[in-house]
Amino acid sequence: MATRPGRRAAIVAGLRTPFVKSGTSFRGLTALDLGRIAVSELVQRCELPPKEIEQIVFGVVIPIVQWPNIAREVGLAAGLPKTIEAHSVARACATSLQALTTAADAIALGEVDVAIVGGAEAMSDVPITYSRPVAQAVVAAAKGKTLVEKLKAFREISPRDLLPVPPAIAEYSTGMSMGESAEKMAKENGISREAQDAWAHRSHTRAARAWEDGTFRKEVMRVLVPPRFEEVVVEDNVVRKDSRLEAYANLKPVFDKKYGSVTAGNSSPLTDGSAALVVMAEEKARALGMKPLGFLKEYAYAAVDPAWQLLQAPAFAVPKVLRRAGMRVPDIDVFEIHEAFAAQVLSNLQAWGSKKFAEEHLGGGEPIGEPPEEKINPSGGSVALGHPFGATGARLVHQALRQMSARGLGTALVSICAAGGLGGACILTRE
Amino acid sequence: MAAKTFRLETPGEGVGVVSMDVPGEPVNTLRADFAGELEELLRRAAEDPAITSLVLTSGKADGFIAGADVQMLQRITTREEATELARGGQQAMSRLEELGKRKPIVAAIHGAALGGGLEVALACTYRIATDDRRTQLGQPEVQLGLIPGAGGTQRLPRLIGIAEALDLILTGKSVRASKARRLGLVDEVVPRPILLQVARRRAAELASGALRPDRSRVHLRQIADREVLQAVALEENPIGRRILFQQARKALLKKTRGHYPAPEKALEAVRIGIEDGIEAGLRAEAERFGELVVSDVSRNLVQIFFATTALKKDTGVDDPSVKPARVSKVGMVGAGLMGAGIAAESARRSWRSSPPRPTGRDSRPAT
Ligand SMILES: CC(C)(COP(=O)(O)OP(=O)(O)OC[C@H]1O[C@@H](n2cnc3c(N)ncnc32)[C@H](O)[C@@H]1OP(=O)(O)O)[C@@H](O)C(=O)NCCC(=O)NCCS
Repeated sequence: MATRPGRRAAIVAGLRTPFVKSGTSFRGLTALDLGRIAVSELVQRCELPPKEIEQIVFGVVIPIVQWPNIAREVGLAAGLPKTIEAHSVARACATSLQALTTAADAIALGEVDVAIVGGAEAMSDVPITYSRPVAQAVVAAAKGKTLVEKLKAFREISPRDLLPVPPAIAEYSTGMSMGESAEKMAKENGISREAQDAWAHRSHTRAARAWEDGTFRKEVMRVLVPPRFEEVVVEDNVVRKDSRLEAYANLKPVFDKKYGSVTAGNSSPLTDGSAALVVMAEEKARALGMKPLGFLKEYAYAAVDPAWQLLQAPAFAVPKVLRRAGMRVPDIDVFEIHEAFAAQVLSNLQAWGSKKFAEEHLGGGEPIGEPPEEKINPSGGSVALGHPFGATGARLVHQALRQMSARGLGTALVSICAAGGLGGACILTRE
Repeated sequence: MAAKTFRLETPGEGVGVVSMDVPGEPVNTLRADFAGELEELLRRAAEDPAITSLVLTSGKADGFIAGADVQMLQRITTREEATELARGGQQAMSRLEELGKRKPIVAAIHGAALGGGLEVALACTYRIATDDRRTQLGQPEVQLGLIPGAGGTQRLPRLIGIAEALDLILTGKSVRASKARRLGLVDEVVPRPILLQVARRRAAELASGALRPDRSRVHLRQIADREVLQAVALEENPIGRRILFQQARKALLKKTRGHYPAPEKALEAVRIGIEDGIEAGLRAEAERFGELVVSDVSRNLVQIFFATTALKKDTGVDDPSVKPARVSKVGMVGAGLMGAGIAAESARRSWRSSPPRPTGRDSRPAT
């Protein structure tokens, strides 16, 4: 089957900070701090001569006005050569997958040999803005020449306009929050509360086991929290080491209190963290004597109407990436599926296995089929590990690659749903 | 045997599900000849010891029951015949209500529940509607020069209060689920995919006594606005009530100038029901319904209804093989009143239209 044209992109290293619930250990840090921490440690660890790096592609989902191009600031703050070009990307929860595929394309075209890609999110540090009337008045006042003119600009402001506006995790086009959309999907696809809770429990149990048996040791760095450097964050703090299935049943639905099934327990929490990867042309890796963790074989993105099932685009992106790679579900050894909500993972899986869905949405033919459960998220997913939006894509790719090397497997598939009705998927191989 | 309109399933836990699906029609409408089938089915449900409660719903994808079959009404020639029809409808509803006292019946409503459709729901023990935009509840009969004829003038005021009931019956306007919930017209509003699931659960809970419908006539909790409180205060005593009816009548006459008899008749039926009891009220409702069906005003309004419905399907040419083309983009020359109107209508249908440019001094840009 057709493979991607151009040079193959090898992923030679990856690293992430522990993922922590927002408002906890990293509450004093910005996404830039977190990005810098992960990137500088990554470069140190993989012993890549910094002068070899030509490009940084990085992203954050909640934009910060002070540094609109986070990729550039991360490179500068990490003390990397100031001559490395950098640009930022945004694709909601698939942002750092986008960073990877953007760099891979540049590598394929021969534009760059070596790139750092990744993303970060600091949900503890979100920009609080003012309402539009206030913002407009401030702009107008700045233009005023006299004090009277300056004050005049504020005449129309009502007390309500003075309330600060926090960013909402809601769709701009539909006004529905992520959680409400997950709730809608649970109902429309008939995903039961029990199935969601069981999935969440499984996610926590596997993540806890992975932390215990050292699976994450190579993937996750320790963070000495600035500016005091007193606290050392060693592990993800969302993972429940003592997850009990019964405990989930007691939680109240958050987004539809009366008829809902989506709870704090079966949703991914708001999380702070950062993750990064080193990607390079296959021959460059060989020249530098670096052993690739694996290769990006193929990727695909897709989109659905946000007002339909917001988090169902993986049901389109995954068949697409398989078709492009000329592969089938049984050919894949590991599936790393982003878990925004258990209801969303189960909806995605249901669609993959559904003949009806294939007929109605994919132009007929056989559905790709549901992978066996043990192949999916073997070390837990976002529900247990957390979901710093910008970092999740790179976390998934790295985790898939490590799974493969640890168990001597050859192929992995990463699937991510994202705000805006977007979805992304990629296939990774190891030789 | 002719295809059936009603089906009864007993999927377990004692809850029978009755679904209405008029074969070959896009929407459910009520016809006199369904009464026998429904009655037979209700008798089966009543006698079946495995059934302790029922859910009544529609088998159509996006509609509950749109009302009485207007064609059927049009074929009626005498006043007696029409009164008889109303009596038949009333009796069917009363039987439904009676059965509900032993085996609670939950109306599961998605889509339009209008006219007779709402009257069916009113005769049930408990009502659940979906929060979907397509769900509409109302008594639009006056718009056809008629009044509700299957107990609507009696059950609606008893359920939601006289003032609110008159507001619906006299204007013929319909309300969405959330408003219906505030009025107390429905007991619960749920997302569409779980309508049947919740309806079954509530039916079982009603049967076991775990759930009692909250029937404090008007839900004061939800309607804190003063006007309604005043109206309720008025309704509680006979003098206040008389004032209420007198005021309603005066307001009505101002609007109809005596040309439209239906709202006035509806008002009478409601009043008689409140003052002399439900039996008298039902009789008054059926008689007035009979008079109106054969009245010129109603006949003409029904004609207009058919004409506008037909117009919506009219292609503008006689040749039936001519089918309207799909339009996605509209270019326009001229930006006067017509151009603006066409542009606005195109925008409403999400057609892309190049905005007409004002050319002369009289031309205004279209919206
Ligand atoms: C779901 C959400 C609203 C919950 O936020 P929250 O209220 O801060 O949740 P908490 O973590 O405080 O959890 C609430 C309770 O559930 C409990 N809980 C959570 N997970 C649990 C588990 N697995 N087992 C037992 N209890 C659990 C917590 O201990 C807490 O109990 P407490 O109140 O007694 O301390 C929030 O995480 C959210 O918005 N997530 C979605 C993020 C999103 O939209 N992402 C975009 C995806 S594309």
